[in-house]
Amino acid sequence: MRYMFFALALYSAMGFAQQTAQNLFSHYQSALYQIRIIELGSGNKSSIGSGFQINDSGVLVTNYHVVSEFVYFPEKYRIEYLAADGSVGDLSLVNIDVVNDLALVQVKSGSNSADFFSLSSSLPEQGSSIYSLGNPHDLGMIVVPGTFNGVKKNSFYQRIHFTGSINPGMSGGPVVNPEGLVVGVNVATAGNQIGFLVPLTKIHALIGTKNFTPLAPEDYKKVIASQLMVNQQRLFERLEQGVWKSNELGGAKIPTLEGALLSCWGDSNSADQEALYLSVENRCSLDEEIFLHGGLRTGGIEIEFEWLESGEFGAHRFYDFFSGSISGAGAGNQAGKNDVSNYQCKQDIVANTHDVKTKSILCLRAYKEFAHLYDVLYIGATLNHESQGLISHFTLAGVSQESAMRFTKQFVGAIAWQ
Amino acid sequence: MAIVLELLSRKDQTLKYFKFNKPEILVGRDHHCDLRLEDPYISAEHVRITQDSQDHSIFFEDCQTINGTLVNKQSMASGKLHGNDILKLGRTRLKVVNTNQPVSAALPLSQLEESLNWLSSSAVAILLTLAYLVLSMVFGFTNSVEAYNVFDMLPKEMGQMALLSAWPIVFAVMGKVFNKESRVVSQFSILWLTLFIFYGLYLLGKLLSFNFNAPEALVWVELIVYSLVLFGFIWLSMFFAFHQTNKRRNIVGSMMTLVIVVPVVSIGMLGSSDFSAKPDYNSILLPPIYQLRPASDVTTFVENSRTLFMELDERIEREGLAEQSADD
Repeated sequence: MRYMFFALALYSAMGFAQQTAQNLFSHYQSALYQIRIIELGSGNKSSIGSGFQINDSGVLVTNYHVVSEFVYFPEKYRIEYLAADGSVGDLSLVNIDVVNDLALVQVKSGSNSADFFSLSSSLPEQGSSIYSLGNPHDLGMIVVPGTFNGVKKNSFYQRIHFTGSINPGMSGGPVVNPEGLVVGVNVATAGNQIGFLVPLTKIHALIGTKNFTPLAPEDYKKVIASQLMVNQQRLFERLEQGVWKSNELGGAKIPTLEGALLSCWGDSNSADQEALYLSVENRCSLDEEIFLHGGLRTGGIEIEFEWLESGEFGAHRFYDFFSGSISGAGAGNQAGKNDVSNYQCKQDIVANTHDVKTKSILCLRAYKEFAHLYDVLYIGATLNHESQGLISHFTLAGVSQESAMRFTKQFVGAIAWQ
Repeated sequence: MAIVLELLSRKDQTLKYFKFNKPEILVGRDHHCDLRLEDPYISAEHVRITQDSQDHSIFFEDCQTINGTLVNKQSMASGKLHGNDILKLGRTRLKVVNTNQPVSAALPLSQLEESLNWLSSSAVAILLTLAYLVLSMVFGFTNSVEAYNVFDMLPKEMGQMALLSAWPIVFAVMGKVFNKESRVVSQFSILWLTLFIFYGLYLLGKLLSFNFNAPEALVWVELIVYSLVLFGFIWLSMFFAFHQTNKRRNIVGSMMTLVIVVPVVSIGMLGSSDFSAKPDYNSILLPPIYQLRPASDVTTFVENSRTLFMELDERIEREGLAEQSADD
């Protein structure tokens, strides 16, 4: 009899799994919403995304980037939902997490659905089937079955790697396990069945306080500013605590970060038979950036080194070429006229304790709406040799003065000769 | 007193002077005339010009010619002539000179003229031309990243020099027209010399800006020095081409310098306050032998950047306030 019970239980579990894709949608569709940003001037939608209800009082989770236009210009847009039964209503913004691309919105009128999604308490095992829900390209709500492939490696901004198609418009939709419990939120795609989800813990953190009083529109930017400030502090602590090793590049030794925080690529022109010089490059960067609005990204880091040498050029010709190689450096992140000031630079001839003499140029631009956050650009060229040299370059987006100065000091101080 | 006439060109320039110490002269195409003019539209005896012995006033009388005589474009048979009246006989024009009027004072001979004599030597000019060609080739070479072939570059450099030659040639032609002397050799010499000075200043600017961290004031000093050299060059071009007073040369020279410098500067300033995602920094690097100054240490460099942060904060605050007051 006991065996029989076990067999029955197994059967019903399998049956549930088989039916999941069919059933999930009908079961939960009343808790799924299309989220629309309505431009007040034209009265029409300017962008769309998805969202899902997480409690019985009409609080929905979506992506920050779905509602970013409203956050930046609350006087020009409003947020609207379209429910499964075709009803439409206004949403107010409750809270945001720009670093993890999440937002909480709430149905303004009381007529929200009684159904809602529950959050899973833990992430599934790698290889488990999970189901992404959303409304791609305004085509209607769909279910996309896929596979949970763990939390993405090499990332500071954590994402779940989801093997399955996520398309524009599905952003903000939930990803559920076969039991219908939310494990992540659709956020991005890298094409070819590679999708990314905001992991469960970030959703828990955002709704953890259970405080669902809407933010005042004048506080939106202040919340973003404080989240960016805290985030850059965490990022630079991680960078400083990381193990920096000295790697060889040409005749120089450059600092490289061990571990998986930055992803690095190399290149050289040694295959070019006609080149009169040798160029060897090493470029590292954070894979993700923080999306603030259509024209503004921040939170990124790029670190680049290039070794140049030539047996053919004399000193004059080499240094003319060298000067050309350090000109024209630009920002690492996208930002517009209303977001940041123009760059201002300072330069000097600097020698570090390893007797590396560099022309060092440090340029900064400030964020207009987030006080004491800056984009930093550094470019340096060594001056010790007649016809060889190292270009060292980094860009930091959205960092504080202290982080920028500490990082610059460490970076310039770490370059050495072999 | 005498009768003085000037033969004029179509452009009212004096081609010839005639002075007659007689109270009466005959102008025409005939061989016995006092002033004989080779113009097929002039009659054998065309006009008779007389001078009153008392008050020295001058009269003329047309000798009933086929084409008549025009005084200041009006046909007249006879009458009194005044200074600067223009007689037209056939196609020839004669100006009556008022001998009572004093001529303008002589221009002082310039000491400069003597000290610049060496510029008019062809050997010097050829040497300077070749030296300039070599200099521009050397610059082309240090600027090249790919294999450098002298014979490939020669036509390009010579083409550029031909283009530059337009300036001295224009001044030489003007000199020839207004001054009957082109002085083309001197014009070329000063062109190449000026370009040498420009190259020298460019290198000096590079050296200073590299070693002293490209201070903003240097840009203005450079602009002033370049403008002065340009003014000197234009001044000398005019000095060789025209006879004019120094005052006039200074005025015209300053105007021409401004006409060249102002557009160049304003084009350079154009859009400098626009938003750009690229920083504007000085990327000059020089080989170790040109590094004149000891290096700072890393801490000093990083600490000095504090002012940069402060300046930016202040600017953002200013702009924020300006925007607020604009909104109000």
